[in-house]
Amino acid sequence: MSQTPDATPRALREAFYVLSTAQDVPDARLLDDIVRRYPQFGQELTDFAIAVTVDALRGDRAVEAAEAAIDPTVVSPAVSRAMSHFQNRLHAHTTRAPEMKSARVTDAVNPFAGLSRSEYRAFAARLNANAVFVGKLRDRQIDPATMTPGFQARVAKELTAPLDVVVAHFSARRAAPAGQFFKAEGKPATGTQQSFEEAVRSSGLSEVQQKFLLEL
Amino acid sequence: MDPFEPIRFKAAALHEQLLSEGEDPFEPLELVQAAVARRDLELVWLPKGDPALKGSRALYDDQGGTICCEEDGDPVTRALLVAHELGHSELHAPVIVLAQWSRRVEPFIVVVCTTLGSRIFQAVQGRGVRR
Repeated sequence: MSQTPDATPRALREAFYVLSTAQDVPDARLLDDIVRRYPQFGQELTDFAIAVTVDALRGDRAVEAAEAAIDPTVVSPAVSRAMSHFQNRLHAHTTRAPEMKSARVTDAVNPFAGLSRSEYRAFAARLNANAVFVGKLRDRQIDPATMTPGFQARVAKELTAPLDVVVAHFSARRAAPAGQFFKAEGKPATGTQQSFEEAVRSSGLSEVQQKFLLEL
Repeated sequence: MDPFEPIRFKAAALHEQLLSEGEDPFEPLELVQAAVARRDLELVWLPKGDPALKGSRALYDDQGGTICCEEDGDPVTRALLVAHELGHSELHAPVIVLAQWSRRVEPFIVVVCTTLGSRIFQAVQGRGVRR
């Protein structure tokens, strides 16, 4: 007798909950265990584990933790694929990859996604900007080619995120906005990207803030 | 009691609270700005068509707690746009829930907006808008 996997949003939330509470930083062994329990969510769990790990470790410790825990002798093909994906994504996020600076990646981790409102506003304050400008960074509405290296480094520093993760985020494909609500005649649009200077000039920032950001 | 009644009550309570704190009901833009501040939100006026508006006239960003609104238009229109976004901020809870329920919540937001808005319109019709 076979069991039909429960693929409801409730089951997915339960799987996420188990993954996020089992240990501080998920590793390949934990992912293996949970993908076995929720095989219908292998891809979602892998992506979630990556996001949690990158967010928690912000660097090389993620790769070390994942490699130390993996046991390649007892995995199913589905679990093996999930673990391989996990390792590959971790490697991409935590090692320097200069070619990513010019590539338009499609599934980069959004380093702003996990920020609470207070963290989001605190980041805006540290950057000497406002929430609107940070929203443009979060939603990839600024052409990364027009950002100065100094500005990108400042964003990475204030986010306490690896520079490569931040650069990859800015270069990634823009997705439909989440957690935003509109008053419009038609469907919301991601719109065209602004140049860095245009974004600084049009986001409701003070003259002092604009000068500071443009000089980074 | 119809299901919208609690929402009307909530909007009316917010309106009354703002008046009790000294806000002028005949200044619609100042009224909604006070409501924004009361809810610890930020209101930013942007040029029409700014990318942050995502093709809309006004927008509520739950993560940043920000209402963006186009700076064009008369004060009453802008006040109603902001009031609509206030409805989102009032009724929406965690983002994850909202993504699933936003379509069902939208009619309630219209009620919040309409209740607050109708007060504004009554004021406008009775006294005119001071600019």
